[in-house]
Amino acid sequence: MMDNKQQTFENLVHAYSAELYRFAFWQCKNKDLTEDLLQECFARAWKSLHKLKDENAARAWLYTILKREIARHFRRNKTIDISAEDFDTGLFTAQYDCTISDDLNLRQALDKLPIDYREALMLQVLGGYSCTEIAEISGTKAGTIMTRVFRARQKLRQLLTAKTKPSANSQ
Amino acid sequence: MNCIDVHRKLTTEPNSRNAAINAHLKECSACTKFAESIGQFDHAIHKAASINVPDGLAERILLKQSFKQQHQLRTNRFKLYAVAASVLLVFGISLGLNYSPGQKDALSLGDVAINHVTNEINHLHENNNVQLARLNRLLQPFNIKLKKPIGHVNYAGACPIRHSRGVHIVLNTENETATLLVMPGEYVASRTSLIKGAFKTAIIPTKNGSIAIITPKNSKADLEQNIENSLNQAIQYI
Repeated sequence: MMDNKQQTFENLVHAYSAELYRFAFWQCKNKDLTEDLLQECFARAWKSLHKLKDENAARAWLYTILKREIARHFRRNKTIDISAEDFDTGLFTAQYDCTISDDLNLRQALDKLPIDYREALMLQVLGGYSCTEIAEISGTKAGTIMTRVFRARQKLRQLLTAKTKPSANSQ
Repeated sequence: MNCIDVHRKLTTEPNSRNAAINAHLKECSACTKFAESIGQFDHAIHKAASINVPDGLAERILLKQSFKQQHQLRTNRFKLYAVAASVLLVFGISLGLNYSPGQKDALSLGDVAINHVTNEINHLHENNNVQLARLNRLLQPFNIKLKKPIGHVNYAGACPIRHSRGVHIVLNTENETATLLVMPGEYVASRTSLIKGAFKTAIIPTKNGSIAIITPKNSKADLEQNIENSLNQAIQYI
């Protein structure tokens, strides 16, 4: 018979692995690395599952673990920017899962955002979290997160505008 | 709430629409337009960021986790066995250190010797004046011979002592009664002593086993040593 811990763990994996994958991908931009980090995240979650008392807090708890795992990875590798061979360039071209040019432009713009801005924006847009909740997950102040998401959107607009301007001029 | 507050709120928390914001949006067409534009932009970001998740991701995570658990289980089991083996080893070593074969034999042999005398206490009161020739006949099967008397022997007889037969001798010397138990095959590593009840005993290693000298606990301090000296001078292995 499957024990309670195992059942809870499986439920968590099925419920949140996809959105956690998307969040992690936008931090490391490499499919294999993303999956490895997610695996580590869930391995840590398994070890400390007994600490999770409130099931409503499970999602934010997993985001926190994943965020720490990503930070640990980058700290270990002494760099935030990933090397060229690790970069999944396909994601930012029309061949991969992207048929609408707006999506492609946006992805390229998202890729250019500073990692702190992108992380906060992804937690808000993909995770649906408020600035206060993101601050709790990130261990920062809500004011800092507000600044990051504001500047992230501002920077995205700038990048998209700059991208469309040359083509407008060429016509 | 004015337009600046609404803009600030919408650019930082586009999903958060409280009553005050909604009330302002109803009255302000510019802010409503701004809110729509922010909503569309966020929708576009969400759409662009929602990349495809690899097929079977959850199953792979669960599978790898189950392998990890199995590995952990095996490691834990191995650790448990290692700890159990270590405990047994330490226990075995300490047992070996505390009870080396010589000591174990000597201690138990001392007990056996005193118990034997206690069980056959009546021999201490006999007065048969056993001659040296008869004593040597008793000792001969054990390849022992006494070259000269070791004192006034009140009793001598063959006795079963622990694992084998031996010789029980009661002698009177220096106005004290002492018992000798000749115990062939009962080896001890070195001379050892034991005091138990009313008696004390010294177990002396010999060529083919050991001899116990049992004297009353309150007898003269050098009585055992004097008897041992007499024995050393008289005993001969044939």
